[in-house]
Amino acid sequence: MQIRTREFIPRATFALHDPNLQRALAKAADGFIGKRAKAIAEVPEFEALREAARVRKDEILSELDLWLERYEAQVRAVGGQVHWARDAEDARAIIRALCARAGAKTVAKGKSMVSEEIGLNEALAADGLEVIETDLGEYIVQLAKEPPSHIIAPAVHKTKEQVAELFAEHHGTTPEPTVSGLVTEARQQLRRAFFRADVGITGANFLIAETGASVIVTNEGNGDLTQTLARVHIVTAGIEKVVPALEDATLFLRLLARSATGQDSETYTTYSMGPRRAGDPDGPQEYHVVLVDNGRSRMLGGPWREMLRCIRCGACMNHCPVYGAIGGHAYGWVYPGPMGSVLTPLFVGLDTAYDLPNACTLNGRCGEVCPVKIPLPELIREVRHAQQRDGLHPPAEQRVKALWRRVAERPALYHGLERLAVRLLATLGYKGRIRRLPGLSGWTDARDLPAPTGRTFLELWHAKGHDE
Amino acid sequence: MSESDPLDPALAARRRDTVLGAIRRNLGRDAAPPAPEFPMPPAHPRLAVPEEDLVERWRKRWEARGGTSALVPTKAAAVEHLVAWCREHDLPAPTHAARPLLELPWPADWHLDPGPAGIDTQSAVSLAFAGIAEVGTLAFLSGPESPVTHLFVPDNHFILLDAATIVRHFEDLWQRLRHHLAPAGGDWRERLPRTLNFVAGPSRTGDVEQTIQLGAHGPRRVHVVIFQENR
Repeated sequence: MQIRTREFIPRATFALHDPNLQRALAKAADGFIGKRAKAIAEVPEFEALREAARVRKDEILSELDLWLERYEAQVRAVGGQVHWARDAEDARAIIRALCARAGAKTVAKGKSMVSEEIGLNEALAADGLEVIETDLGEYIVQLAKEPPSHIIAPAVHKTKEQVAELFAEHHGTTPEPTVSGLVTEARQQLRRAFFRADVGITGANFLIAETGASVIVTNEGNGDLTQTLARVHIVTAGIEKVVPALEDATLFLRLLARSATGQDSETYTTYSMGPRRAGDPDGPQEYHVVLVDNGRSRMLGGPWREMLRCIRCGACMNHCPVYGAIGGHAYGWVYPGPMGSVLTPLFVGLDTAYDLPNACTLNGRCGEVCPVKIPLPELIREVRHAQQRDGLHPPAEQRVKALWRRVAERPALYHGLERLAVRLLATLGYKGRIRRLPGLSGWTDARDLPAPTGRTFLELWHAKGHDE
Repeated sequence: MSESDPLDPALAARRRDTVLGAIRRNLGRDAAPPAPEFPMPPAHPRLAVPEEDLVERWRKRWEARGGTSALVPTKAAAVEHLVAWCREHDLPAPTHAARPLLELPWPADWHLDPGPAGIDTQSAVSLAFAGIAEVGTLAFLSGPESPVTHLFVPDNHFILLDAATIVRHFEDLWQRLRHHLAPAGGDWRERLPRTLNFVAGPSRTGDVEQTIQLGAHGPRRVHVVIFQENR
């Protein structure tokens, strides 16, 4: 997937002025937040589950090599193959070779963030393969030649009229522009793709060492048709997805559906353990898992390890006021919102993704809703520190901060300037509010500032007879 | 095979060593410590399922997600119920069924195929391995007697569920699965089916304007008939 993180500001500005997108985002945020809150209110154990998940995932990560080896041995025992990819290039090369060996013409794909991360679709298309995304949202953005704008709802920014136009253009049909008409149309088109596909590629929400299973959750059933009807099933998964036992998968699944879509369970949860067995009437003849590192092992070593607990539920972005205002495309790569503000700079570079962590308001909501208690605001601040250490902050900002520091280190000067500032600001107020500030319209156009009374806190404190 | 073949075993081994080496280095250990014994199933928090009647709990949760269900005394009554249900709702008769169900007293004009579902398959009947009361979902084990395509391809999916197989929590299911796969002891992991499928209702999507629509790719209608003869 093309990296467009440098276009964050123009893309965010564009998003803020797109009325369709603004409407869609408002509706999506209400839906996701309300549904999650309702689902969690029914589960008094939710906090205990979060804490257990945090502890368990940390234990697993501290022995990640062992669990991966266990997992690999068990996949082999059930007749599958594990392929290790150091980076995106390895992963693409392995999957292209598997498709070539299978003589594949058509590849059906279930939803996979890792496959977006490694730029798989472009590579397979360049080999002349027909690649079909089968999650309805992913299919819509694929037809529109756009990246997903939300990890759970990839086409959240499209109206039904826009979807109807896309279907008309690509299918040569005239579907009814209603939700049910469009879903039926997609069902008919994609059904043929499932049966035509030679290779089915899915992601994995979890890998289980005990059974060698890859686990996917979907509501549509597309991931299951993808893997059941193709001759070859390929799973793409980050190395951090492994958990030891079936009971561990249950722990994380109890958190995932409630956090992602506000359901107690998604419709389909599937544990896949190898290829078709002797006597099985259906299922793939080959089963491959591509384990992708692509920078994850490096994250184990530093302050970023906690980010590897992420189970990709999307709750952080659903609760992020910045994501809610600008949508996923502004973030310019695979992972939007708070998770992207941490992950994207680590994957593509602190410099290339400079704006992402700096757009954060540090309001803290993402950290409060994260089902595995990733301290997202702290990690976002940590990315900013790393950018500061690398000297990436703009010179003007560096100068302002240096000036601020000089003033803050001199209390007399600081308090003098403060007394001056509150008196000046007090004269700008009208009925206790400041509606406009010269040169800061970007701030005051959208909100009023409470006007100071004309005296500093310390002055008021002393006036009340308190000592220094 | 040449070095440039991405599937070359020597190259694959090097990639594996690189990734595992990087993980160990970043975890601050030199070499792999001896692999630990597999721990007993870890005990994580469960959700309270206070209901005495698991069948009621299961049905309530199942129906909250758009599935339908009925409760009958016996398997034979389940057949009668399904025939009436199809007539009443004007649904096509099933053309596919799991092999263990073929012996039931189906109407003479229902021709049930135990093979995989094809692109035109409209309706199938399956037998669930278990129900899980916690969330109202069903578990299926794939195998010669239960094609996975029956769960996902047809428009209408009918499922027979033995009330005695409804468990309270997923943890109960895992215990039952381990015992089911190796009833006489031995390693249950040597008998794992290709898939373990959980189905929690009709296929659904919210991908167009966040509006829930049933029947995205899988069945639009899923009807469960619970029989109680073993209860």
